[in-house]
Amino acid sequence: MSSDFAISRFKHLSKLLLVHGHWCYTRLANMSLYFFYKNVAYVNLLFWYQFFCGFSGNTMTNYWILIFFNLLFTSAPPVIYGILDKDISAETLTRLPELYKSGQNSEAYLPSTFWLTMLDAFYQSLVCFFLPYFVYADSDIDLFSFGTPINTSALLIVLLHLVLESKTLTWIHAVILIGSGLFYFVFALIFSATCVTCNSPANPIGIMEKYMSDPVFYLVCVLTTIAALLPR
Amino acid sequence: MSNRKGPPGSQPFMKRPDNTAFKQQKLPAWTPTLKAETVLPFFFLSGVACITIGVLLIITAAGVQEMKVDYTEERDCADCYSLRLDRAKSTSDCACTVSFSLSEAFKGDVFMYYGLTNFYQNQRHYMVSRDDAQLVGRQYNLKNPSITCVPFDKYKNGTPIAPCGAIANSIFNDTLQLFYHSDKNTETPVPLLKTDITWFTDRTVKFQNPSPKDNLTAAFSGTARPFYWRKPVYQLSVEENNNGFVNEDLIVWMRQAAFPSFKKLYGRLNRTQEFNDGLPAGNYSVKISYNYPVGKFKGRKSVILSTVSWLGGQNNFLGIAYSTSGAITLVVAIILTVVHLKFRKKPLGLEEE
Repeated sequence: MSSDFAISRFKHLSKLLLVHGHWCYTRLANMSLYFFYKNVAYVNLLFWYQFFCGFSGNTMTNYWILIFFNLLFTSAPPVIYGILDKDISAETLTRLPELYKSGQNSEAYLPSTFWLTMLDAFYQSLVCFFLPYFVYADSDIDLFSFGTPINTSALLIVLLHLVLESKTLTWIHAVILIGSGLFYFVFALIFSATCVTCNSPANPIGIMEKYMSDPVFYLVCVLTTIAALLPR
Repeated sequence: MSNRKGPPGSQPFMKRPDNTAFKQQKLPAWTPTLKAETVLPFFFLSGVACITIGVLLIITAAGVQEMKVDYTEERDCADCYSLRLDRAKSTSDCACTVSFSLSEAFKGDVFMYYGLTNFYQNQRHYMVSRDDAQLVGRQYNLKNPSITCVPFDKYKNGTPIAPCGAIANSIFNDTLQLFYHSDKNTETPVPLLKTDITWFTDRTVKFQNPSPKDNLTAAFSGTARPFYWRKPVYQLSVEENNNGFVNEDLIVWMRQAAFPSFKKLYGRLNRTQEFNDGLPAGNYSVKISYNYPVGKFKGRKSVILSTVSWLGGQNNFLGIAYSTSGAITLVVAIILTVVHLKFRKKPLGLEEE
């Protein structure tokens, strides 16, 4: 007989239900909300750009980074969050069985929570796009150099959003989060140093060097969105 | 259930999961609770830091000087503008002059840009219309431009175009010459350097002439100039090393601008003789060989002179953004502190009673 859960003793049932059941519900709810948020925020960035490229469907980042953003750089953190996050400790949950009601009443995933998350994603993508836009408008910035600070800030925002959302952080979280961030930077640097004709029309050779004058700028993007998240 | 042998009450040891911290979900964890003691100092600190950085940035940006002259229809350029609306007369020359004056001297390195508005270099079809393999100097791609360049890849008789594509075809071809009028009758040409205006990686790696590099006419034999060009690519400049695909004006143009209104570097001031410290204040004029037809797409052309700081050209936005977010953070911090103190007073009040 196959089942999702199997327990060896009847006494384990209370722990299974009250503790793991509750955790399972909240983790799933928050993780799916986070996935929606992450994707809406990222794709909205491309959407804002359409106003400035004649709605021709152009993107300001090259395909590889676009794809890898979701595949490699931001996939591990939510999974770890979903496995390890504990919003209330095991002891509290067994002591207060009425907390299980929050799962039955679907308190973590109401329609209002969903729309609030969407609004947040919208606002963050607005900030993340227009701040660099106003900084670089009318200058001699080129297309893919414009995309670089946007992508980097988007990555940092998305990862830090997860930190804010988590109720518990372990060393595994730290490793995965920092690892994802570093992976992005390493990848982007290597990509821009080696790709001359591999990916027309992007070919981002030398773009990461634009970095140097811009660290100042990232702080604005991240800080503004965190200031908006904290009241949350 | 065959492994449930042994005395009743004893656990079947082999089925028990490992008692490691990970599998038992008992990893040491830190719960980030948002207490007032941690949040408020953070808000205050970041608010103050943001405002200081913002003020610094505003001061730096204020030190950058910029002069922009829109010459699309300025004085005698208006005749050239209407001439260029007529496609049949595109090969006839037209020159005009625009004057302006600098109220303050531009100290330091001065850069000259040309600006265009309403020109969508970031439109998708336009953007893919280039062949980077050809621009790197590969022989095969020189004679066989990629299909992304269609219809700017070959002439009707089959001659390949070098460089192919719509981007290269639409290169900005006005020539701008700056003159300084120290008094009414003397006119000194301002020396401009047209080299080193591109990224190092662009002119050394991304754009390379096909071999033989010392005889460009032979290297480009069998190819033809793009439709709208008057000279072939190996005759773009009078300077020695600035011809073929490594011509810096071409490289500057090929770097697609992010927005429809942009500026691109035309040249940098050669700081010799009287221009040692930059551009002195006074009257200037720009002699323009007006070739680029912007009337059809309602664009505007301008020449821009600017100094730069470590922050780049003139842009106040970053400084303002930092100051505003710093101010907002401080305001929020003050409000939260007030709320927090109000809540704190209640339990104390109850104890006194």
